[in-house]
Amino acid sequence: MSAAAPATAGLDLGSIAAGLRQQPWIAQWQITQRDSVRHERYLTFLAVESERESAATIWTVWTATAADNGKQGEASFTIQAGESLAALQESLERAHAAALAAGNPAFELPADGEDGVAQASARDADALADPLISADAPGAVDTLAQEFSTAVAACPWVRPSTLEIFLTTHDRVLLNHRGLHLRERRTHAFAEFVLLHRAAGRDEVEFYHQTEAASLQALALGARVARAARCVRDGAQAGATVPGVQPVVISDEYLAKLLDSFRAHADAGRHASRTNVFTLGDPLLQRRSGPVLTVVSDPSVISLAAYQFDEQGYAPSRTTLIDADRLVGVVGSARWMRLLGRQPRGMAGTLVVPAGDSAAADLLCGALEVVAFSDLAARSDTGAFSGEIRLAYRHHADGRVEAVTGGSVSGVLTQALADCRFSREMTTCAGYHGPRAVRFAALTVAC
Amino acid sequence: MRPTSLIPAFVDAVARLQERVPYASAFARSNAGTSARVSALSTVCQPISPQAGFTLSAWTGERFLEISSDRLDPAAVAQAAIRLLERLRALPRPIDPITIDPGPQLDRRFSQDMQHDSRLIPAAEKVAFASALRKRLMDASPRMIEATGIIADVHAEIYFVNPSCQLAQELHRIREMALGTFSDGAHQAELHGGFERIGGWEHRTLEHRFIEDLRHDGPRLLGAGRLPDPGEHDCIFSGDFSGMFAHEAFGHGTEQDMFLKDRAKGAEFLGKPVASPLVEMIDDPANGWAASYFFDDEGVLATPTRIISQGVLVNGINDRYSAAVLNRRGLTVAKTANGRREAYDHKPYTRMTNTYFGRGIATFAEMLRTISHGYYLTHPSNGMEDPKGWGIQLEGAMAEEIEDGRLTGRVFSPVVVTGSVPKLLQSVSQVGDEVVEASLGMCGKGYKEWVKVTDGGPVMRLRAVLA
Repeated sequence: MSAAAPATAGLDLGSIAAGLRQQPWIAQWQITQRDSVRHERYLTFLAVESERESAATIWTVWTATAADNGKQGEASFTIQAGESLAALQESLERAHAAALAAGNPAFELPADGEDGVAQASARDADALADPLISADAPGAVDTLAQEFSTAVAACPWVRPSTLEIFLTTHDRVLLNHRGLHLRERRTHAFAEFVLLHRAAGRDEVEFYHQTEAASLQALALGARVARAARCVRDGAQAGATVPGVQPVVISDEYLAKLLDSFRAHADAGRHASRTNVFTLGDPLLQRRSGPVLTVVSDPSVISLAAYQFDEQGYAPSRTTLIDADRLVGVVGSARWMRLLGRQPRGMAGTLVVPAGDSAAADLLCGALEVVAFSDLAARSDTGAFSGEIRLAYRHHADGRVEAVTGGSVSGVLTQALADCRFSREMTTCAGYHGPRAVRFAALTVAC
Repeated sequence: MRPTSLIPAFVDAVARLQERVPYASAFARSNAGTSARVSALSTVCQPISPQAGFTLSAWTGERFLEISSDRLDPAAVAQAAIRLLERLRALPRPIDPITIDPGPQLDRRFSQDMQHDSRLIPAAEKVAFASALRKRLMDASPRMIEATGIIADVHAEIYFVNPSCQLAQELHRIREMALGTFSDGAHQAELHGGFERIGGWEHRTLEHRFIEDLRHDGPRLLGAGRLPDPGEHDCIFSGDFSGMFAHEAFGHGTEQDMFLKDRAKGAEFLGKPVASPLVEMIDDPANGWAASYFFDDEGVLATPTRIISQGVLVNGINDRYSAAVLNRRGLTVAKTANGRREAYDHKPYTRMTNTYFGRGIATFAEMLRTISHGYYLTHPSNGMEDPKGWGIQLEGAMAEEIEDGRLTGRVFSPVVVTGSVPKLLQSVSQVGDEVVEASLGMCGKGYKEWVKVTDGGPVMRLRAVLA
């Protein structure tokens, strides 16, 4: 199916801006236009079950009254393609009532050419887009489906239960009352698949994998299928996890999710509202061994958290959040940064962690390497995390490797990081770019 | 433009598609409502995103083709139908097509009651209520360093047309929530609570149980460590923790679209015991809880499904596609009203609605009395299903120690439950006499496709692996 171009029969960016300019109560405004075109395919045992395409255009409108005694009334609303000027007028009347009820600390949206603000002429607006997706999404869906089939065929022990492919092109335009007018195109590739395998005399097992990236190449679907095929074969013969406090290796998307909790610690909004767990300059942990931790926010490093301009138009800026185990930086929207008395430098982007000093293979000796959890995330208030083990490998000191399943891994992130080693090998997944694996010296494994 | 104006265009489009395919349908949805949220430094009162649009579906006998658009006008519907027909012409006709039953002839309009229409409440009143909720919390505990009060009203207009039926429904609910941040200077903890109810502004309250729970339990989490003795223990699950258990255990495990993909072990256990005889489990989109509706997103009228009866797995839940394919395979399945979309532009899957364990006869005191060492689990936060391997992960904010038949007051946080679903269900030895609704839930299919659900249950005693 060819993608339907987003249609804007009633309103467009210009008519909405004109409508806002006519409102005497509006001192500041911003419009964000988002056009998206998505193509999807669903396969069950390689047969197509469903194919879908969708297109949408929405405008998110933010307005504020003039500042009075350091406060401004604010309101926002969303309006869709096909709506009329009358609908816009109705939304504006409601927004006025809401703004009068919603007084917030005043701040000013950025102007074109202001320090730290993205400049339209300085950027390639398509830099975050994969042309294979944006130019021919149906063809790209075919390519991925074929890549999956080929990869599965190379692993004859598996049955390919499901594959879901979503490819989306997002166009974002930001316009504000101070002349800022920016455009960005990005693409998003998503795949979810399940492979099945039955070992002789045992129940059939599945291996589930979900992956997303900005491009087909980064999605690397064929390689992921090959790895999943090995995992499902091993999982079908897995023994029981052995409980106890032990070294645990966590990698890729699970490591990314754990470290993602540092976004909350460095969030300017939390610091402004004084709900931050750590104060700037505080050590996050009492280091026992291993290299000190450094975490940087860099929206110019390509990942799903990269951007050309943030939600208010600020350019990507590299900010060190954690240096030598101490919280040293905050990031957030202009609202919160101004409240903290800081210059806005864009919202958080890709979390970048430098490479460690160990080969990934060296981290495994004597450790439990968990390759699939049911779910794993650290709480932002306490750092506590737990995850059920779907598949792990016990790496014995004598070199034997044994697949295991069941039970859970638990710990507290700041304690676990105090005694850890990162791999030299790097990975990019979700909004993270950093070491592919970490070895925690002692986590609790229960079953 | 409201989706109701599209019905003639939908009827026309479905008729045109039916000339080419064995089954076609149209679905439209539009959301409305407002969310007011107040914290120390931020007050927000904004309309929820309308997410308005329609989908035309054509079933070829082997696959669905769907086109979604956010333009609620008849010309867009006609254009989508033309595009679908073009695409259909490029596909070969199936040799042995599967038939999808369009259901009985129906032309119905439904609406959930609102005593006090929340759409008519001024923004200032909504902000004032969220502010009062926040103040109620801040005043309640000196350890609370910040609170956020939220009141939202959510309304949906939904339309469905297929060759047999034209259905419309209006759904209305209120969501009241609060998030508390607690600190003792050395530690910090966060806890949230709230509820959702079908209806309007009449359901708002500053006297709900969740406010007292936050006030009482939030400070107890400060400095709470992990469980000192991870492993298998006697446990009591609170009613809302039981609800999450029901949802993750045999809610997902009986979604019959998973049967088609050989992803649910439950397919082999229909008619067989999977739980203690004390266990009853139901999915009911019509029981009046917050995820209720009159018909699902495929036009099937809502009725309850008994999933487990006296410990025996008796029924699954399904969407039109999975029911059709399973029946073709000779597995007789009753059609249930569980075909749901995350939004107008998402695919329908088999999804739960209001899923809960039925009540028993025991009291909490009776359960507590017979436990020499164990834990009482409360404040569920998230869970994950594993219908193929029958593993489970349930996480909660608090486990309180039980010693010699009494709660000791020592709490641990967070707590995670893992293990084998049938082993856990078969270990249920006592079931409480009052069912609690946990109404704030959202459910993903795997890790996406979020829909509104609730779950619930009575307090339950069982043995579980905790960490």
